[in-house]
Amino acid sequence: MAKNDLQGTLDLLILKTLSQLGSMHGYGILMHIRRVSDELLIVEEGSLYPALHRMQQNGWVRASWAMTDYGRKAKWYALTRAGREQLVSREKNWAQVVKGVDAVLRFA
Amino acid sequence: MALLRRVLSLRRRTRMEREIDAELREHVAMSIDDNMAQGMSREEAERDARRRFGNPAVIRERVSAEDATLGLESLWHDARSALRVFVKSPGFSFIVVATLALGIGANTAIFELLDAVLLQSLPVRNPQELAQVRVVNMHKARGSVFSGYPVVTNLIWDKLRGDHQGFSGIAAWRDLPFFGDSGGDARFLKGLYVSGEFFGVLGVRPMAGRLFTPADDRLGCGLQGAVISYGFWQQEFGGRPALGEKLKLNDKYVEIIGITPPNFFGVAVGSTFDVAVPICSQPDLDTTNMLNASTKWWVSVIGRLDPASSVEQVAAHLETNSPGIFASTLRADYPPASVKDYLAMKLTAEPSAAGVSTLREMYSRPLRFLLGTAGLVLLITCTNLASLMLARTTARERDMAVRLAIGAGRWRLIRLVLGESLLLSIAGAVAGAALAQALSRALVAYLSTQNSPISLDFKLDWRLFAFLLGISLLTCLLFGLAAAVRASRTPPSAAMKAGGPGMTASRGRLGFRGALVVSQVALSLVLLFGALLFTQSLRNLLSNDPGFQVKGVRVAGLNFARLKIPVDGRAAFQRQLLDRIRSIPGVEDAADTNVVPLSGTSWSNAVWIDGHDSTVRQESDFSTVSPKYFKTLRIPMVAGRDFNDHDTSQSPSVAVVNEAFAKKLGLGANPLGEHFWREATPSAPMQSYLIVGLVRDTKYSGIRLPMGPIAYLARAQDSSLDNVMQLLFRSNLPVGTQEVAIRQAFLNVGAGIRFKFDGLEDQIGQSLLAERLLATLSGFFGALAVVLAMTGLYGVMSYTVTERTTEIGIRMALGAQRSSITAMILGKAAKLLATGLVLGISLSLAAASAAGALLFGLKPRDPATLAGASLLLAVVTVLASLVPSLRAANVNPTKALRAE
Repeated sequence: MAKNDLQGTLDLLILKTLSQLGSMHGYGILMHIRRVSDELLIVEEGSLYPALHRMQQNGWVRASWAMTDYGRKAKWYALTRAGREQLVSREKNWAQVVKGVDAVLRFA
Repeated sequence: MALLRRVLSLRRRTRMEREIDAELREHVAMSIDDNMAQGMSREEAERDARRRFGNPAVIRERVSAEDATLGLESLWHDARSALRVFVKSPGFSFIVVATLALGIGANTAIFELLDAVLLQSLPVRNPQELAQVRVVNMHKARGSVFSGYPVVTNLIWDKLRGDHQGFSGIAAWRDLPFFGDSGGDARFLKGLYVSGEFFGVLGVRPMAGRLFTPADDRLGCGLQGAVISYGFWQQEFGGRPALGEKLKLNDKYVEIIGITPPNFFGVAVGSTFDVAVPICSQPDLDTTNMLNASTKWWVSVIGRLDPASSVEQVAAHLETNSPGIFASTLRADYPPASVKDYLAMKLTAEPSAAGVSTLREMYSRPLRFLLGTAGLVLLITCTNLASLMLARTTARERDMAVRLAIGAGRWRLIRLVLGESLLLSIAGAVAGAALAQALSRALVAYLSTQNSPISLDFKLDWRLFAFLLGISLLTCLLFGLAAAVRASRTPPSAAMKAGGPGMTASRGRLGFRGALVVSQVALSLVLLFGALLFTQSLRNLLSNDPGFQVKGVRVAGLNFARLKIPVDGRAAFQRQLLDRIRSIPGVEDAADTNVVPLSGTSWSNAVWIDGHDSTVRQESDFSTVSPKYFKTLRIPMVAGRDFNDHDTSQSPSVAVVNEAFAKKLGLGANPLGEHFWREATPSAPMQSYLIVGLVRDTKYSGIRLPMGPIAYLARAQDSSLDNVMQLLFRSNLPVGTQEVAIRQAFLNVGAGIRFKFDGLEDQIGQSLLAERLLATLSGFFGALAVVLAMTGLYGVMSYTVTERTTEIGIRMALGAQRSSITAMILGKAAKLLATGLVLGISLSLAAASAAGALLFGLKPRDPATLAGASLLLAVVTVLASLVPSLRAANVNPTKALRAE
């Protein structure tokens, strides 16, 4: 049984983003998802930061304060080992969900 | 790791919140930077960023709320906010903590007592290995039984010591008082006769000096030494070195050779000892030698089981050996008619880890019962608190709604309210524990009497702690959860809309509070019913006519062994002493007896009518009395004469009997002139008596027992008079002056007389302690329950009235009468009350049988008592709901409607 909910999807997006960018701050994650998805997926700040906080508490990401390219101080997030494992399982889970939903939609 | 980090992060909460704020601020700044880079003006860029971002405070709340979803809210945070709430409403907090403290305190006190009496083990090595030896058919034993504990004769103990298969060690003991003075007001030391093995078998080590060994306990050992208890050492020597000091016991000097450790109180729970001597010293301390008699049942036997054998095996072994043991211990002093019964006696063994205790037998049932009652009180306390918390939550509805609206989760609200109740429970438990210490000591003081002091070892052990913690957590969950769930269900929109009281009414809410009140009423009825039952039972016992007048009679226990009066001179001495007492101005009557009625002592023998076969025997109680005994106690003389000074050892043996005696032996209405026989006893042969008087029936050994046959014998004709007297006297002087006069009389007769005063009424009162305890405490609990039910119903009705103010206003505006409004509210209360009463009555009937054995003179399902309890509760609670009902009638319609 594949597990899926909105939060799970957001987690997957954040984890994937961090694995692609290596290390990024909240605003950057937001912009990255928006840009890459061609503005199809717009993550709200009100969802992003609670999710990041939770992931940090769970030990999936680690955070540190550093300067941005434009000279602002920001909290940078990066995947931990647990986070990478989490990403792998989430990706697998997502593939299952897509497969399952697809099958339902195709049912004639 | 992750968990540790989370827990650690809880302690850095404010820092974390500052960090979140900083992060969000930077986020907005970056957003503005981007906007400006795309060509917006600074103002435009800021406005756009803010619009997109929303309220930063809400986001911060949501970020921190993630901790709650993780199940790790800051407990400290909750506790602090709870504390703030309590400081803001001290009245509410005080009531809650006080109610809880009473409930928990009462429970703990009773549990502590129960624990000390029933559950704690002996303070010796491996107490679970201990077992005591008991004679199965003890009621057939003839002779003198010296204790309420299982006893055997010294001869039997000797056999058991010789063959104790299954026991790795076996020992004997007896607690008997010693005189520690030399005349005047008697001063008793709590003495303990022990066998040489006693301390070794129990594994008690000396605190100083040495304890007895089998070598100290040899026949004919004399008075080699005594071991004293730590308590006695402190009290008597103030902790000064005592080894080698001499103690005076029964006018003999004994050297102190050792002191026992502080925690050792002996083997009888509830009593302590002052001084112990070997069993072999008994003949040197007492006038009669009990070592070689088969009719003196006085030593208790306790043994330590072999690791290889069980109590059952030992019991079986004892049973097989019984015929041999009893056959070899029979001596010539045993009454020949009873020898067959003696030889058929059986020994058995039973576990004794918790020590032996008459206290336990006496109070086990009442204490268990009271613990159950206290539990019910706690339950009522909980429902009351649940009501309170609920009412409070309702009052804070807006607060909750605001919290919900700005993004607090349901779970967080539940935690908030639960945190409050947890804090209250803990405060209540702590206060309750303190209260319990005072209460349990008061209870022991209440049970302890001058003549039978009780010393119990209270300790706050893990069992008590677990009990306390369990109760407070249970309470917290019970009354907190209800409120918490309610609070979290508050729909934010509805509450936000509500302008004032009167709009948030919902039937479901009162339904729950109503259910609480119904259960309160039901439980209170059970308690009230119990309280009334026990109070009535005690009143029955106290007002039960014993057949004689107790009031105004005092008892003086005398011992004149030091005067060394020969047996044949004792009767004359006693008569002389009595005359002396009677001549004291103010003393109306005085008499002397060997069995003070209702004191618990008894003496019974088989009797039969002259001319009948001795096999047609009946049991009758006996008592030897001096002349004027009946007059002193105001026992009516029906026919014949009282004893007088002409009844002496030279004149024919005479007896006065009561009506039950005449009836039981079929002597008809006039038994005067008949003869009856009394069986042989260890101290006297079979003897015939002439009945010279008939008196009314009286109670004999206990007030609970029915009046039975009693034969009174003349004290002057008793050939084996002891050195003791139980003087009964009735006087119209105040107790103090009267005792001074009588004390002077004793001293004039002989300086060596020891004496002790007691009121006959007090003595009887002492025999009813368990009943008094039950009646007093259950009365207290019943009253507490009624008060709680009253406040509960009052609270719920006030709440209803407040809640329905608008509705009532509309009704009145439309022309409803005040009386009909009052009736409406009262009707609601009556409905709750009636439901509660019906429930309570069925509960009471179901629970009543448990009280059956504890009652005297009434049935456990006594309908009149139940009706009385229901009526009392109904009246009281209706009165409680009358106030809010009248308030409802006084609602000002204009005002009520304008409030909207």
